[in-house]
Amino acid sequence: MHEEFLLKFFEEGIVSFGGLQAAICHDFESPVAKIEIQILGLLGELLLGPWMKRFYTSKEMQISHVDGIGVVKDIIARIQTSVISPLKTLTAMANFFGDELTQDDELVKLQRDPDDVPLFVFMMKCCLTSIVGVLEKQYRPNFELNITAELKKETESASRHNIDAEQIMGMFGALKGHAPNATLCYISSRMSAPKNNVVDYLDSLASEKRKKLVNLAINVPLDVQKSVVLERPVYNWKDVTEEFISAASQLKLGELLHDQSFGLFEAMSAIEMMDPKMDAGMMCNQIKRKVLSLEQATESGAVKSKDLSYRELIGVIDATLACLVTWLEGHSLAQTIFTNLYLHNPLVLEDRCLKAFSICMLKTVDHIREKVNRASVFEEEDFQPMTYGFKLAADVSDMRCTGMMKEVEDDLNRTMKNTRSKAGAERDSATEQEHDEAVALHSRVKFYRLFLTMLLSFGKDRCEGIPQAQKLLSQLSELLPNIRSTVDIGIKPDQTENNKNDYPTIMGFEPLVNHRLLPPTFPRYTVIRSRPDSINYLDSLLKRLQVATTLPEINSLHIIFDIFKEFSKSSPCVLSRSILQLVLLPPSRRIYGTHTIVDFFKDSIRNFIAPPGLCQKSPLYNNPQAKEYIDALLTHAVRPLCNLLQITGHNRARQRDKWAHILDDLSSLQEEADKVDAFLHNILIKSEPGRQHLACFGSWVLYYTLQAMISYAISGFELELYATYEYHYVYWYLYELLYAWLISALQRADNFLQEHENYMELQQKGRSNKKNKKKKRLRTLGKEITLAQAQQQMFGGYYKAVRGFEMDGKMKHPHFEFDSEEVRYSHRFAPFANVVTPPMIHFAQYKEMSDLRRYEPEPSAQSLYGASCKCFHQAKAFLESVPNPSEEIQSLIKVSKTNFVVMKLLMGGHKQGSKDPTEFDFTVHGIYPIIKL
Amino acid sequence: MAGESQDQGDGDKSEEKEGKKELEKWLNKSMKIEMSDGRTLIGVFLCTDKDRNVILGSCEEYLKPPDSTEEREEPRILGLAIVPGQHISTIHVDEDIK
Repeated sequence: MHEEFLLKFFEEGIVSFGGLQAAICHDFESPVAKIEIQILGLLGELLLGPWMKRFYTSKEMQISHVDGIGVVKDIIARIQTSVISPLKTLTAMANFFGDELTQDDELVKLQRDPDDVPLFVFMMKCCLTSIVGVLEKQYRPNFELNITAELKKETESASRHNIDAEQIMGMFGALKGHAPNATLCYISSRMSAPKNNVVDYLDSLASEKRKKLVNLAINVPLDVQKSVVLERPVYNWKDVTEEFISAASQLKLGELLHDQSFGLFEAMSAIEMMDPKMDAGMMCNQIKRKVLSLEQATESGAVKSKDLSYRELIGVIDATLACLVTWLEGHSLAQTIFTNLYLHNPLVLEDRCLKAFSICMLKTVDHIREKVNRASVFEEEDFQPMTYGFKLAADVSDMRCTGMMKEVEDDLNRTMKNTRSKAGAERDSATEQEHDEAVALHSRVKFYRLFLTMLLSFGKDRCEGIPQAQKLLSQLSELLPNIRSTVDIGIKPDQTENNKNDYPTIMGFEPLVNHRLLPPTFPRYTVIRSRPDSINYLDSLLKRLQVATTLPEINSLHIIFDIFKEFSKSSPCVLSRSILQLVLLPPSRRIYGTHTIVDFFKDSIRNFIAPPGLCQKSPLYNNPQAKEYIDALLTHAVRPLCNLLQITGHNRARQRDKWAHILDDLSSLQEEADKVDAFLHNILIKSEPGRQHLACFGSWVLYYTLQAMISYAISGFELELYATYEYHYVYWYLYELLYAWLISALQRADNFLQEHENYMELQQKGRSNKKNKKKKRLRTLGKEITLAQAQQQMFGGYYKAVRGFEMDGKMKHPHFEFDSEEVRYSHRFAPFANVVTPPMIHFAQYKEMSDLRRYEPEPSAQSLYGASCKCFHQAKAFLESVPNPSEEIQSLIKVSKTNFVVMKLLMGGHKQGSKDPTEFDFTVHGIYPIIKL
Repeated sequence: MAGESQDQGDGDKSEEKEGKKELEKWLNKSMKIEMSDGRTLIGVFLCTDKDRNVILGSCEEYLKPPDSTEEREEPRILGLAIVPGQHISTIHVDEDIK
């Protein structure tokens, strides 16, 4: 069939693609599409066309930036009147700029009455509202500007539009798509070529001249390179020391002699030589010994490259691990891994074990680097991805590398067999020692081989390697005790005394070998971890990676989010954080490499709130428009929610800012979700008046907004940002607002789940008889609700206790000059101001709502302690009702119990009248302190 | 700013003016400074003051004097660097031969 088509194509050069045309015709006959096109056309006439005409003008013609703001303001006002009565756009005589419309055929066609007026009104309204939303969001800061003549002058040269930038970005994207592996340089020259008319110029030249020019262009860089290598600039030095000193001494104190173009500002960025804090080069001259490269060192015999003893090999391996761990903790490769000279060129090594290990280590470094870069949940303090041009054994395949390790392992196995104690035969102590050393080396070689294999299996597509990774992880953990117990066998440096940058090492290591590679910034001193420390590091790394292997069984976003947050609490290392992120969302951008993100969201939402819109039995499910709206919403949800998960992958200190940042995105998503809910609700009540669809997707988004807000507020405790006299409003906000909203969102979701199950049962009853009346609920958010309630009660307990302490004088308030509680409060909760739901509680409102005089009778400190005591008691009860409590819950139970007792004592008048400040002890839990008197 | 005071009006001593002229002549020329710890810096002379603190632009650092007969070493690129006066051992200026 296809062949026939192809043949025909070759013969005639034309084939009719009737199918496509028919499809387009069919699509355009649908009434919905017609209205959509009509609206698009109208908007083009009314807004977009004039917008382009007005703003996207050439540089000479452009109107002033500041005037533009006024124009946009007017436009928004005009659009807003149209939002109220969208039908008016059908009779409009002027566009949104206030200019008159040209009455041509097109306009008449566009303004004719639509077939489905209500649909037109609805869609137009939605479009216009979102236009206003976007415009207001982008221009809001501008509207607040005070426009003065001076400002007008200053912004004169600013470009009105970003069309140039857009064009460049577009070109960049396209080129990157063509050549994904191209360097920036290449792309930039590809872009400059058309932009600078170089190609046109070349085209215009006669062919001979062109050839000459191209050849010249190719040869020039080569020549330049040659000249750089061979001929450095030749100087004609003249000693002017004396003259300089005498001339300089004639300058006045504080006077600088400099060129016009060089001022104090430039001088500030100079690095100061001979200052140990700034001058990284100082070290090299202060040591006596000569720093040798691998080749020099092997030639001179200082470093062996063959026939290393077992003890030496074990020493090199363990010292390299210490370097690897130090690198993973944020130091540069040059100052850690590559202080090991053997890794500079493993291919010249003659010792088989050393060679295999060196290549394996380079591969490991390469894979770690790739994973961490991919997941990109690191900041400069976590990780240094620079490789300083070192080759990471790219020319040896992973298979070959593990094969080499396996060979070494087999050799060692033979030695172990020959030297092990045999029944009846006495071993001499030398054989015994050899046996022990061989065993120690064997477990190391095996460990690093499996470690590399484990990294590789995490990288397999569709999470297919996860079961293997799980197996490997437990094998690795089994090898660790033996490595730990034999760490003393390896050779060790002579003394353990450390100086800042130079330290004694074993054979093959040279801390200063890469010193010349370091950038001219201030020197960073790297202290290599001790060998036992780095083995402990590996141990915890392996344990954390086990968590990542359990992930693919979970298909609910909110549970994954909880796991990620829990994972982050132990401040995991950058590698385990990255791997966790990549298991969930590998480079294919599919969840676990198999589900699309939108489909995964749908499943998650079904598990969370079971909205009728996603229920197959519901009439909404097959409504094409409903489906389209839901898909659009979920597509928009991808970015913010994936970011939310990514935030948990960053280090703890960086998370706070990111939580604050994401609230903007979540807030607009929330708005959209509410609109979709309203729309679906309208359709739903037409077919099933008893059901509702309000706050379905809305609650789902709200849940994540609240989680982000709570995480933001709570992180202040962990980072020790809040002073004790600030606790009252933070606790109040968490107790009265955030957790209260969270609980109601969860309860709403739970009700939907229940309703959904009832609905399904009703549907089934028609066919089968009721079997089990008291069926256990399939899905419930009971645990989430209980935990949220427990945490709310905890914060309630703290809040009431703190208010009591204030009243009792047990809490000191500073009385700085210019101190303002309102400023502090607004600063603490500033990011919440951008969120629409839940609305921000401003300081005045807080003061009013938390005023104790609202209660009759006004509570005393004692009664506040009593209330606090009750809260802690309830929290404890909630927590204890959770089956299989995690470690986290157990420590919370401990805290709530202790605080309950303390509050009870205070209620009974213990330490009454004492003005000693109360202490908050965060040692048991970083967020929920134990109150100490 | 006090440090940026350009030469204001008539200098009292002609000697002072001469010293300044001498220094200005060297501005933006290549300069080689040997430091008290033996390292050599080569860069463009940009700025100095009474205590002969010198700022060099596009500065390169050599561990050994680059003219020595030994094998040529790769310099480390430093960029903008300030050399405190008390650490300067010798100063050389590049004389153009034209």
